[in-house]
Amino acid sequence: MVGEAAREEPWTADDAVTMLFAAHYRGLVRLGVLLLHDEALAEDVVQDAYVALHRHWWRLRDADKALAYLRTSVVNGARSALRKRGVADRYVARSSADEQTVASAETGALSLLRHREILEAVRRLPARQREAIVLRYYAELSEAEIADAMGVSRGAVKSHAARGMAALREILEHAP
Amino acid sequence: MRPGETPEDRLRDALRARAVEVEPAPDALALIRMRTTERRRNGWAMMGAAAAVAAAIAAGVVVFAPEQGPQPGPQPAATAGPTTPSPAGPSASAAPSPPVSVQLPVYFIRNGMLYREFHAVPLTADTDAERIAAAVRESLSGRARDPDYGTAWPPGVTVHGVSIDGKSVAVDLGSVGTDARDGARALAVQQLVYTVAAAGTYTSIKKADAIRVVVDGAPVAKLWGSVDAGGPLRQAPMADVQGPVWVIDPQQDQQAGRSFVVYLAGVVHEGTVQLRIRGAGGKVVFEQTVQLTAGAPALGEARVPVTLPPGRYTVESWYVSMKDGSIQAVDDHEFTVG
Repeated sequence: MVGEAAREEPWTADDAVTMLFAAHYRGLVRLGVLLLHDEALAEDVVQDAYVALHRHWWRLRDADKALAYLRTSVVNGARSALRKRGVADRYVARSSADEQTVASAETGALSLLRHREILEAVRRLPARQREAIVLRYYAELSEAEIADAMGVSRGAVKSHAARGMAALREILEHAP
Repeated sequence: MRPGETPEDRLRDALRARAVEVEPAPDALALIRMRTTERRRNGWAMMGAAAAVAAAIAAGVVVFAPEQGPQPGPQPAATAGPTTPSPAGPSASAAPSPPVSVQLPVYFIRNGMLYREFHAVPLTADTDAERIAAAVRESLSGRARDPDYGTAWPPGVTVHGVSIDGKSVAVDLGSVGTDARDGARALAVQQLVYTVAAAGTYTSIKKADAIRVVVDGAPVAKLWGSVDAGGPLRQAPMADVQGPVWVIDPQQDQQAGRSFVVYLAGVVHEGTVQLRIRGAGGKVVFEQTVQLTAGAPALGEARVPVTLPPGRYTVESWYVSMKDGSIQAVDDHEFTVG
């Protein structure tokens, strides 16, 4: 047993947070950023999701369910963060998002400039459409998984994604 | 679109390009852990004997901010099942009611480099300023858990307080003496700056823009007659001042469960470090070459799960010099399993 790299006991809530953090935190923050266009806010939302996971671990106790739980928490958290941010500072949010894109370009990610218009268009989509689009084309989830994460039917996923894609199509076709 | 590309491909490409730009903040796991620990202290008992493992797993955080160490209080006894969590869990920025002690990152010195521990520091009032002041006090005092760690600040230095203006933090010091310990003035300043920056991530400031020092309430042009302190202090690049290899978990004197995670971080060539655990009489019970997630100049990290029988152990990590094969930058902690 000495020095054996293995664990036989089931995960505790703390284990679960540690292991799932290592495996998924970065990906979830990236998902959050695509939904929110705000890195600090995205991190808050994802951290909230892990804290909630810790609280509910005794019910979940399963790594696969846990990831779905985290994803749902992030989608919900992002949606309510957007709602809270509200109409009042939507304009402020827009300009800071622009700065972020520019700053990233300066730090060497010139390729982002090529994507800028598309990302802007994704940001302007209604929340549900953006969720469906990001979960499908970034997270590469199945329709069932997207329905689960968004808490809607598969039919609704299909229609949100189709409407989102229709709104983006022209920009995509003309993008460099 | 490029030839042969579908609109869907083009969209995937754009989303991915944006996503890879995002690198999460280094302290995230510590922030999450701090919140789940507070919750537990508020009455949320762990399941089963897992509490001990939980403490062990105090797996740190990422990059520069690992994790808290031993729980500040006694571990909750094993319970038959989960109890109801307290309904209002504290949020990262919400202040638990005072008086309280909070786990905060604190920097110390070993061999002229910075190392960090997480300390439960008591707060008279849980405010942003008080959190930072308490962490700085703990750091400058040199009361490290690891006996190899110390402070570059002279004995008797005091922290009058911290004032915060937006994201700008000013630390008011007293009795700074005539020089840093062993004349390590620049290092002393970095010890303070790193502690303020790290503790700041545990406040609503999140990321401090400017860190200043004043002495007895008044600005000073120079600290100890030589370090510029008239403006914001410059935070030196991590690779220049941080110890190249850190054993983040287990922390010194931590109580770990039988299955625990050794958490290492470092800025080393090709990200290769050595990990060794010794038991009674110095007998090696675990030895492994560990590949960190990145090599110098980036900070890499690794988590190595280990299972050991109960006992007292020393965990050591270091890297081997490319130049002459010598052992460099050993960091080690004693801890207990079981």
